[in-house]
Amino acid sequence: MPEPLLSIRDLCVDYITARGSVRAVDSLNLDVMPGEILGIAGESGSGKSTLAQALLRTLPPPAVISRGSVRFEGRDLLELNEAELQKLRWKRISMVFQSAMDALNPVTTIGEQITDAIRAHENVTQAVADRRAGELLERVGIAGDRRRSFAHQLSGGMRQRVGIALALALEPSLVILDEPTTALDVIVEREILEQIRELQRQLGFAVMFITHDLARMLEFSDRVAVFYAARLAEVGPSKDMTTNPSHPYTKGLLKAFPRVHGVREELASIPGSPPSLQNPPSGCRFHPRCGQAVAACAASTPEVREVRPGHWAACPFAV
Amino acid sequence: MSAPDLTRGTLGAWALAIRRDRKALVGASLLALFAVVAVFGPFFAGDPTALVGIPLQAPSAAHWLGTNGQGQDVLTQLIVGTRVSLALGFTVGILVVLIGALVGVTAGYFGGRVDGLLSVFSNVFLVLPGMPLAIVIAAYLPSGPFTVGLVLVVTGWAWNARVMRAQALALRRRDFVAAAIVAGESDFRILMAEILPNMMSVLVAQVIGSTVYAIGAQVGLEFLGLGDVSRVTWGTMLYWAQNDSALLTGSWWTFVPAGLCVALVGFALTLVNSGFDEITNPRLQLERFWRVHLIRRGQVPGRSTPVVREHA
Repeated sequence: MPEPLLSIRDLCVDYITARGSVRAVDSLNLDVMPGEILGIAGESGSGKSTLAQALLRTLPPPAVISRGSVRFEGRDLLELNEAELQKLRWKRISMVFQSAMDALNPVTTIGEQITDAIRAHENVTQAVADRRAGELLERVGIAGDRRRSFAHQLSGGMRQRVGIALALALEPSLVILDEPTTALDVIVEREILEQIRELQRQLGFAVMFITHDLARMLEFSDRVAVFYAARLAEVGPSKDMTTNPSHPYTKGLLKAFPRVHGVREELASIPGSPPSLQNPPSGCRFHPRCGQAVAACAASTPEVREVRPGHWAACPFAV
Repeated sequence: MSAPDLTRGTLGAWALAIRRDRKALVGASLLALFAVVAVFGPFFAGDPTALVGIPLQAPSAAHWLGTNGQGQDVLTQLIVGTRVSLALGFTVGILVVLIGALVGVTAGYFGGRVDGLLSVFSNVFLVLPGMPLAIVIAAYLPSGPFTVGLVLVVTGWAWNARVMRAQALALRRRDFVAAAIVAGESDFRILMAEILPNMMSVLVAQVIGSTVYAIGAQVGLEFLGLGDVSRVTWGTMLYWAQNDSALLTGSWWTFVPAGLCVALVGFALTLVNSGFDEITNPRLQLERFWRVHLIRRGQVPGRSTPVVREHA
């Protein structure tokens, strides 16, 4: 068993409000192995984007990390000071943002933005950094001389590729993709995801891929973690998850997607709507919407247990 | 319990935001006190120009703030002077912002030749040195509060126009303005319903800033003798104190009260401003609770997401 690259233990993230705090990530345990693609799925507000930003410690106020540890390359990210975080961000963990247009500065060329990132962390000359910027763009399928272009001169897909080049500029060991293809059409989306997979094979970085598109995620990731109302519902290998989901929530989600291959099945939706985190249901948070719920589900929080080797679920009935 | 909706500009919401913020509460209370004095004070204070005793008496039970060089009661003058000083300050403050917003928003929204013309016009007023020009104009016109106000408005609006133009330029390019244009709304409606409400926080801050400036500048002009020196205001009180060599005779009570009032009004307005910031930017409120939460646990809010461990 190899050592995990990133090891999250008992992590809690709270938003402080006038009427007390709201827990957006609740007692999370999760590992990311070196060189794997881990998908994080969940509805809006389930805590997946909060988690991504909490790892980099870049959540804006009023967020507070209130418990846990995040071990990464031998250190606890929650114990680092400002200067240590500054060195680690982008160099060891980088991020591709949802909106490439907003993540790129409109008044400097994309080449300059890449060289800025390189020179902020490495002591190299402008000429060297500029050459590397050209190579990075080639890597993501953009002609190197486009580095003199501004963001508005590129198409949406190309901008997102620039975002990826920027994320890979310092050869990090973990790249967080926060819904990187939400704003793109399906064809460009597929191209970009394939590109990421290809680069990941060549360079060996691990990927944390956040999206609400479960079908896309199951296809693209090695393992998938499903979040529900700030808690982990299920985590396991994608293939196993596709054919044999354990948690009733994951089962419901998969029934709500049409299958392109295999037997034709009736689509079903999960009754009800996601709970409010200000006033979450007692016990298992999914119990008000769960077909299998019994009285005990409302009474106590289910433990996350290993239902099959490498496949964990937070439901006592999961097999 | 549901959260009060502070994003709506109703009076109730404004009052609530002020009550929640200790700074704004202190500022608003001070302002309210001055307003009551300005409105009702003159009815009870008596004639401020009446000669009531020996000149330059120190504060006593009979004359709480003493008498000035003419033997007039300083407290009576202070109370009566409040009305003119405040009324002029707020009128000038509001007028300066109104004119500035009108010119600036028009220039920013329509752009092109309109913007060119209006920008040149306001730039001319910007490069005119305000205070010296105010002194020259005030010296030529018949003296009195109206002249002082006119001078301050003429020399003061251009900065506001610059700020409003920049705001309008930024808002002009936002999607909701484009949507309003597509929906066929008139330019007037877009300006009034789409652009101006989004500038409320800036407008309020500008009114407050301009009022502070107007009160200070008005007192300054009157102190220099460019107001109507026979009328009782905070500025003319300072003028007469200087005229009667208050510093040489050591009669501090003739100038400290008026000077203190000017400072207090400016202080109160600045405090109120922070409360208005929170109404138009609800995010600031959230951050306040967050900051208090951290400080209570001995942490300094910094750039990175803080780790505040719970001890169960």
